Amino acid sequence: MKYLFWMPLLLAMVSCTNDDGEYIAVGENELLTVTLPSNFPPMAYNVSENPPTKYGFELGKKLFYDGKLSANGFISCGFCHEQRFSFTHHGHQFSHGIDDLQGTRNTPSIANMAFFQEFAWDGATNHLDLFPIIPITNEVEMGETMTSVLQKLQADEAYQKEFNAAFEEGGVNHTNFLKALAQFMVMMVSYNSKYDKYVRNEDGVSLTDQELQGLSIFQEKCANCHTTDLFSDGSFRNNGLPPNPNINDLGRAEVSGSPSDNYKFKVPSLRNVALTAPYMHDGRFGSLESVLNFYQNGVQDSPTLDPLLKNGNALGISLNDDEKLVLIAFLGTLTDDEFITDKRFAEY
Amino acid sequence: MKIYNIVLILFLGTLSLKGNEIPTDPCSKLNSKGLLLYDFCDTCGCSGNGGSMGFGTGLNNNFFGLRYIGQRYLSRDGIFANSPWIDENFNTVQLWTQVPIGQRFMVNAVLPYQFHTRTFADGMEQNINGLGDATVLGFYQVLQQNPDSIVSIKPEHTLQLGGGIKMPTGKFDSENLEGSVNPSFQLGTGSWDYLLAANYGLKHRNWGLSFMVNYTFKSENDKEYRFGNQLNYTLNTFKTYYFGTDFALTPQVGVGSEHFEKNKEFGLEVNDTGGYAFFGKAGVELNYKTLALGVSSMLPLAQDLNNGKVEAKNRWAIYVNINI
Amino acid sequence: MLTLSVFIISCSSDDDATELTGNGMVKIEFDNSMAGDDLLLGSSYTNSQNETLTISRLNYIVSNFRLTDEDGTVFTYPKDQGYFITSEETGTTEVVLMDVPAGRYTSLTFGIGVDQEKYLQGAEGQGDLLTEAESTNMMWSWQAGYKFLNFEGTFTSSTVADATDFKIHMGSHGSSLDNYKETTLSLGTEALVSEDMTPIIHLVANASNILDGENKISLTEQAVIMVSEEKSPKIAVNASNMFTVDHVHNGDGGSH
Repeated sequence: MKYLFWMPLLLAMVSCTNDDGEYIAVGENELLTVTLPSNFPPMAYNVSENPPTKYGFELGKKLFYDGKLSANGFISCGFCHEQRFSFTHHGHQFSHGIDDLQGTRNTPSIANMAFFQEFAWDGATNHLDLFPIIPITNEVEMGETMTSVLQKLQADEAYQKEFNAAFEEGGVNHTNFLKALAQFMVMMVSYNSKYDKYVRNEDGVSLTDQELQGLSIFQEKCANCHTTDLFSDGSFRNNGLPPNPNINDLGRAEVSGSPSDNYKFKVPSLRNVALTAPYMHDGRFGSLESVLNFYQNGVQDSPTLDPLLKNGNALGISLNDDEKLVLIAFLGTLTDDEFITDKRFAEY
Repeated sequence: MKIYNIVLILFLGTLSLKGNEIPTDPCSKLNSKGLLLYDFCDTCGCSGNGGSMGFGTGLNNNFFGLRYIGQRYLSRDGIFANSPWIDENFNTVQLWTQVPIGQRFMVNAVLPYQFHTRTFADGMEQNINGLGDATVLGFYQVLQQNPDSIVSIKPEHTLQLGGGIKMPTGKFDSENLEGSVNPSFQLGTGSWDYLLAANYGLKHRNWGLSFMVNYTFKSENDKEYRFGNQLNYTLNTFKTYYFGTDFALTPQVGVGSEHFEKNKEFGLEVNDTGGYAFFGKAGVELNYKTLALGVSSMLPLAQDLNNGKVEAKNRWAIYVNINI
Repeated sequence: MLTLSVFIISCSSDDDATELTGNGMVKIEFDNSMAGDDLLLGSSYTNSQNETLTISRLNYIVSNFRLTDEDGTVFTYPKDQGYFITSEETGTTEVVLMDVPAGRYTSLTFGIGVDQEKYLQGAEGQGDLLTEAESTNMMWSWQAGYKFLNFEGTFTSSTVADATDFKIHMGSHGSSLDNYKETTLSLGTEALVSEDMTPIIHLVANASNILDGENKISLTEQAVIMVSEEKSPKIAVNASNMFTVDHVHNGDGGSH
């Protein structure tokens, strides 16, 4: 009779140890809450299809910072997407990938991706899950194939355990790989800038007179494209940049094939814009002053120029020097220190 | 006399004819020779009864003997305009006989043994041999013809009505349905088939004319495959030349036609089956006392078999009989 | 007269409809052709625009299979397993549908490519299709999407004397252009499915229709067509109309 009591206990203990006899504690996976700031539009990502979990998010972060995803084992997502610069490539007009090959577009920021529906400067894909395929398979970025990346991960015991912990079925496969990265990106919500706290009346934060003036000019002259508190309406527009003759990047037209989309690029979010220089899809402006100068007197007409930048014969946005100053002051309030120092998203 | 001209032209035209292959339907009727009384075409590999060669020699003898029939077909191995043709050769050796029962009845029987080959586009050869489908027919003489009269003044008519049965003594292998469009590459139909036939003959002095029509009802075999019913008709003409009392020579010439309904499998029509073929035929029989030696050949003049995917080529036969 | 009575007996028994129960498989053969000729990679074919094509690649994605039976009931193949890539160069041209309910099916509907709904299912929805696409040159990695059709080779024409490469890649353009099309084909006869019976539906895919169908696409004018707002949809329509049913083979599905 005694043995009947001890046997199951012994068996239970034995079953909890792995082959090496080492006791591994695998805690329960937990669902994470995705932040839905009250001043944001509704989330676009379908969280119920891929709910962020503790282990899924951790796995996604590990993959984000793992050079294995590239052909030379060195270029990870984090290589170009640096957290302290709101996940852009500081000081780089174009980024260099494997074999030091250079791309043709400026690294965009990764923040609030869950609230957008089209990704990349030209909207090449409209599902966040699938986005990583693009840089991974791009010959001048990570230069890999999905199959080969997965093979590398499958050979890694640590990844096998982490995949199994994060996902009920499938182990190390494409679906879970992409879902993990998506979970990581979905959790990256930037919503605690000085501006946010002001708008939500939090912590008694208030804007200076300059900043308030800048806000008012912004709402009048910029917010038609940089709408909502996401500071982008996610649409594709030609803002009058004279095309770089060496590249002649057609932007959205590369995806749609339609000449009516020539030179149109996605309106970027302006969150953390003070940190994400250089600016524009090809990183041609080194400062916000240059950007505003451009809008004032650099806008070039073309068949696809956005109508909002054309008023009869007047092109661009009329701004005087004072207005430019206060605008830049306002744009500074969009910097979210909490986001760029958030340990959850940090590499180390 | 116009008939003679036509007949002569046909005869000359068909001198170079050779045997034909089995048509889409195992029961194709080919009236190559001596089908004076009734053509019963089953030369198709399956039943191997004689195709248009028929059950009789054409001279209304009672006999038993041995006959060989060879047929050649081309079948398209594939569904495209440039799919390769494959060569199919059907060979049958038969024990055949015609015996009278009383004054007005007659029985014909055929027991075939088949050996067929075909060569696919990749060079692979397929051979099948074995017993074919045995057939037995019974006829009732409605109009009596004087059997021994050679020299007679008036034209004499004969009319026979009858029917018969073809037994599934030959093997039907559904495996042979694969890989090629010709479903007739078989030793037998695997089914009991039933026939109705009618023959009309006209004789005057030493030349004769015959018209024959028959219809075969085919049933479904145990692999749920049913060959399409078949209609055949033949028109034949011949003249006998006598050399002394022991020898006779009878050249024959004619045309024949075979029509096949589509085959069915599991109750559903099988596409690319059915069709028709129209043949010209010529042959000659040599008689010495009670022995008979015959040779004949058929050539298709018009055809549309299996949606053009099977082409009947030549057919020929040779037989040796003892007249009784 | 004996034969007559025998005949009557044999004719009175009609074919009993074969009883069909259980679940079975359906095999669909995509036989690639060029205007009535078998499509052979490396062979040349001249189309109505007097362009002579030598084809080196023909791959396409087929999906969302639906079978309609004699009563009009539609069986929809499960979406998760329902995307297939056919490829002439690897010889993978047969699609096998599993666990199809027994029945007598009279028509077949399927799509060419990947529908928007599948894209929007994100990582979860792609399953093995992504990996398969990557290994068969059907992934459009620059947009993390799929080529629905990959048609390549060389061509000559009256004005193009030297063999020049042509590449036709047709797919949806992100969210801006949906090139997914479907086609419905009447089988002409019934396809019998049961636990013992596996029909083989033999389709002919006339690749000549891709450039020479209801829309004429001239290679001399443009030999590489990948993201063309004007030509891609025309090619998508042409491709969706290139299928016909040659025949249905009922049986145990063993060989054909």
